[in-house]
Amino acid sequence: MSELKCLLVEDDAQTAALALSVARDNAIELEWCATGHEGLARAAAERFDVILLDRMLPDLDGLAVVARLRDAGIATPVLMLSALGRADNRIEGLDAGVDDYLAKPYEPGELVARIRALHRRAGEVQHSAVILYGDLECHVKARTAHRQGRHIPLSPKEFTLFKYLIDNAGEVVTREMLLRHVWNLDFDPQTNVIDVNVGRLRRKLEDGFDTPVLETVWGTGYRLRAG
Amino acid sequence: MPVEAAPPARSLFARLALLIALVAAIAVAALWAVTDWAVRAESRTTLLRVIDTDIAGLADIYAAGGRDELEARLADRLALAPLAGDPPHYLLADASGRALAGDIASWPALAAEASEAGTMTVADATEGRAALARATQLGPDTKLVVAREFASRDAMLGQIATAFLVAGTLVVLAAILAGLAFARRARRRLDRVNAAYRAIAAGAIDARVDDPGGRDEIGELARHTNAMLERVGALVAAHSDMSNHLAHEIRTPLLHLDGRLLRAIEGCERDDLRDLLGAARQDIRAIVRMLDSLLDISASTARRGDSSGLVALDLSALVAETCDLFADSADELGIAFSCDLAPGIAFDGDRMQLIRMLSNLLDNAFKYTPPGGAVAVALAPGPVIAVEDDGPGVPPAMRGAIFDRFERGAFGASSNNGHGLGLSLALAIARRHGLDLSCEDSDRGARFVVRPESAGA
Repeated sequence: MSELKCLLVEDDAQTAALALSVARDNAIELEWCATGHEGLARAAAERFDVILLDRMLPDLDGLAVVARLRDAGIATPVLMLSALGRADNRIEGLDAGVDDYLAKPYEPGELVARIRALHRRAGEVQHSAVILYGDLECHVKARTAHRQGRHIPLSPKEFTLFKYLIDNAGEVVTREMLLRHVWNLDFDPQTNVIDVNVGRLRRKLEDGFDTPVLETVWGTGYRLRAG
Repeated sequence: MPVEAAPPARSLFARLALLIALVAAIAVAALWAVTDWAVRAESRTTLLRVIDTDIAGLADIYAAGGRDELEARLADRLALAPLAGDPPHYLLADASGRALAGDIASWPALAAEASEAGTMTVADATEGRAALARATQLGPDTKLVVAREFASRDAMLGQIATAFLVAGTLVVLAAILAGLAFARRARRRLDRVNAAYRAIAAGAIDARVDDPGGRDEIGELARHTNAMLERVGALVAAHSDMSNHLAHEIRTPLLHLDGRLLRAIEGCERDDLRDLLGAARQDIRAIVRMLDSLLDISASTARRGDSSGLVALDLSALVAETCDLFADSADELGIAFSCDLAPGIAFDGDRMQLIRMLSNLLDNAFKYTPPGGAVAVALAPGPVIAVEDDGPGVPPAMRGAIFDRFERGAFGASSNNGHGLGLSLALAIARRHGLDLSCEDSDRGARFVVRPESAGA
C-alpha cells in the first residue's frame, strides 16, 4: 500500500495524538500543526494528499482556512474533523468547500477509510463505461454487474451499492459512507437496511463462485476484494 | 403568521389618494351649494325691491288716474317690456279676484290686504316659469299683483354652476394626481421596509432597509426595523454560536475520554474488560447523539415558520423511500409492514429532515410493536401522514407529555435515546414545516399523525 502523506491542523494536543497514532498504525504519514495560519503555510509550501482540518481553531475558523486554501489555488482534498457533528454543521462545511466531514469522536477505522476514499477520489478522473476489478465488471451506463463473464441481476439499490463498493475496491467503506453515498442520508436511521442489502449483494456476487469478494471488516465496514 | 412573499395587491396609499379626491369633490360641491343659496337669497331681495318700486309707481298712477288709467298703463308696460332683465307680469283684479288687466291668468295664492310676497308660476303659451310676486290692495274693489321672472338670477346660477363644475373637476384631478404622487413615494418607502422583511423570510438574515429616509413616521419605522433586525440577527448569531460552543466544549472531553478508552482496549488482554470498555465507548456515542438531538430540536424550533431552505419535493416518493429503509427490519422482526401512499403529493420541505422525522416515527412504532404485529403508514393529500402500530398504545393523559420530555427534564431517565428525544425532534421538524404532530385515538396501538397546523388537531 503506497504511503499517504497528510497534514493535520488541530489545536488540541490530545486529539492530535489520537489521530497521529491512528495514522501511524495505518501507514499514513501525518504532519501536525496546531494553528490555522501554520496549517495554511504548510499546505502552501508542500504537497499533501489529504488535509485533515479541525473546525474550531483558536486563530482562524476551519471554514475560513478552507476558503483561503481554495483562493490560493490549493485543491488538496480536505477532510474536516469537527466536534460539531450535526447535519446542519456538515452541510455548512460541505458548502464551504470541504470535501468530507467527520464528526468527533470517530472510530479509527472510519478516519482511515475516509482519508483513503478522499485520496482515491482526488486521483481518479476516469469515467469509463466499464469498471473492472478482479473478475468483477460494472457496466456503468447499462447499470449491470458481471462476475467471470456471468451476468448478475441486481436491484437498482443493489447496483448503486455495488458501484460504490467497486469505486472504492480494495478499501474499507464504512456504514456512514454507505448511508451518505448510497442511501443519500446524513443520519443513521438505526435500521438494518445496510446489513440486509450488503448481505443480499454478497449472496448474489458469491453464490456459485469459489472465492468470496465482499468481506466484512469487523467493527468498521465492508471491503470489496479481488476474487 | 407567514410573511407575504410578494407586495400586497391592495395598496393603502392608493385608497388614501382616492379618499382625498373624494373629500375634495365633496368640499367643492358644498361650496357650490352655499354659493347657490347665497345668490338665491340675494337675488330675491334685489328682485323684491324692484317689484316694490314698480308697485309704488303703479299705486301713484292708480291714485292719480284711477283704474282705467292704470289698465292702460299696464298694457303699455307689458307691450314695451324689455327683452333683457327680468320680464315683468301683472294682474289687476277686482275684489273677487276677477281679472281686469294684465297677463297673469288667475289670482295667485297671495293675500292682497297683507301685501304678501311669494313665488308663483307665470304661465306662458308653452311653459310655466318661476317668478317672484307681491300682491297689494289698491282700492276697496281693486287689487294688483306684480311679478318678475327669475331670469337674471337663473342665468347667474347657471354660470356659477359651470364655474364650479370646471373648477371642481380641476381640483379633484389635482387632488388625485397629488395624492397618487404622495402615495407612490410613501409606498415606495414602505416597500423598502417590507422588502427587508421579505428578504429575511426568504433566508437573507443580513437584509436591512436601505435608505430609511427622512425624520418622519416612515423613516422612524424603517430605523426601528433596522435596529430590531440588527438585534434579532445578533440573537440568532449568539444562539448558533452558543450551540456550537456548547457542542464543542462537551464533545472535546468526551473525545479525550474515548481516546483513552480506545488505548485501554488496545492494551487490554481480558475479553470481559474489553467488552466493558467497548460498552463505555457506546455510552459516549449515546451521549453525543443525545446532545446532537437536543441541538437539532432547538435549531428546528428556532426556524419554525421560516420557509427558507425548503424546496419543492415529491412527498410520496420521500415517504416510500423512508419506508424502504424499514422494510427489511420489519421482515426480520416478523412485523407486517404496510404502506398506503397516495401518489404525487407535492410538498415544500427539507428532504433530510422529513426523512428523519418519519424515521423517528417508524423507529418508535417498530420499537413498541411485538413480533407478529403490524405497522401501517398512510399518506393522504393535505398532506396527512399517519403511522399506526400494534403496540400497547399511549394513554390519552400521556399523549401531550410524550413530546415534551425535554421540557420536563426527564430525558436523563429515558436514556434509551430513541423514544423521548426522537418524538420531540419529530415534532420540532414537523413544526418547522408548518405541520403538527399528534398522537390520536386508535383501535389498535399508537397512532401518530402529521398534518398541516392550520387544519387543527
